[in-house]
Amino acid sequence: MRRGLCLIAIVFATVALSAAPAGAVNLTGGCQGQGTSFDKDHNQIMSATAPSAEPGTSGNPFLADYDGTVEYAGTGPLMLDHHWEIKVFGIPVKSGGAPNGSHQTATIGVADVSDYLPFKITGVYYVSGEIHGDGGACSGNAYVKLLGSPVGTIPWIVAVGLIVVGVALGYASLPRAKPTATGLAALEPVFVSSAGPPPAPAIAQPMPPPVPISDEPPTPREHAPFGEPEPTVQQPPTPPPPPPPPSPRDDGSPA
Amino acid sequence: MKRKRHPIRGFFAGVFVGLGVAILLLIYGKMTTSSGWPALAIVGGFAVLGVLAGLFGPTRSRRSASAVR
Repeated sequence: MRRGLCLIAIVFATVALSAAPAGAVNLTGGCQGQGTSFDKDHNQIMSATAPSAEPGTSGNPFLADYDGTVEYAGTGPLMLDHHWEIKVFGIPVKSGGAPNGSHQTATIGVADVSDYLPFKITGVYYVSGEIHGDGGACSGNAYVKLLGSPVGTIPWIVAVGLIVVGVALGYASLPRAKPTATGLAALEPVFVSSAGPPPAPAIAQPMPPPVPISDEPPTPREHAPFGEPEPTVQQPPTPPPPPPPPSPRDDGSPA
Repeated sequence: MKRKRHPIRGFFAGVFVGLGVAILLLIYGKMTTSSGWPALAIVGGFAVLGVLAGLFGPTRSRRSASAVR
């Protein structure tokens, strides 16, 4: 009996993890169930019942917390030697099976969301599950939205790394300019005639050292600010010209 | 002067950027895993952009000799 309940639990765990709000879960094969998701502080997030009349869409996913749990209860046909499998986007994430020697057809329990995922992820995912054995088979599918911030998770780090590498590679893939063969061929005659590359232009002779004009140190010169007239330089008064030398007539000598 | 082009390198650059963008859209809940076509379209679109950038993108300036020194 206990193994049969375990079977049903697996079926409903699949449905509960993928269940959308009421009327948003596909479940076939005669299985029924309901589930409620809780966050890590055991605050209720959402309840769902399967199967529902309306198909589940990405617009009304079943909300769950990666660190939270899903409480489930379900019933189904008796299945012996069953095997179950849960897939996310077609990729199996968990599977198992049991002989169900106790012939259980109902179950109840609590599933940790993190047990069905290899690492923390967020977003909306299409989850499907199935169970089959001797006596029947059930399958279900729905959308699950895992709550929380994606920053710092492994997919977020991988995505940012891919973008950084891609942008760097994209810059390296831009065209680069390179000399053409015709351009190099045009320079070949010059090299052949001169037995080498054209000579470099003559280097200018170094300038001789400055020669002092006078021994006196240069006088500082005051400049007016930009836009103002230069100050007038006050010339020192010119000394009177020296008296002319006395002529021979003036000294009283005879002419 | 002739332009040396890198379309293959641009293709892989576009694939990397497309994969990163697709993963970001997925984990931020803007895209679901019900169908792989949106992700393939994003990756393919960025790959085509990468090839076009490698073929017809702006010329990357070559490092000058003075800069090498």
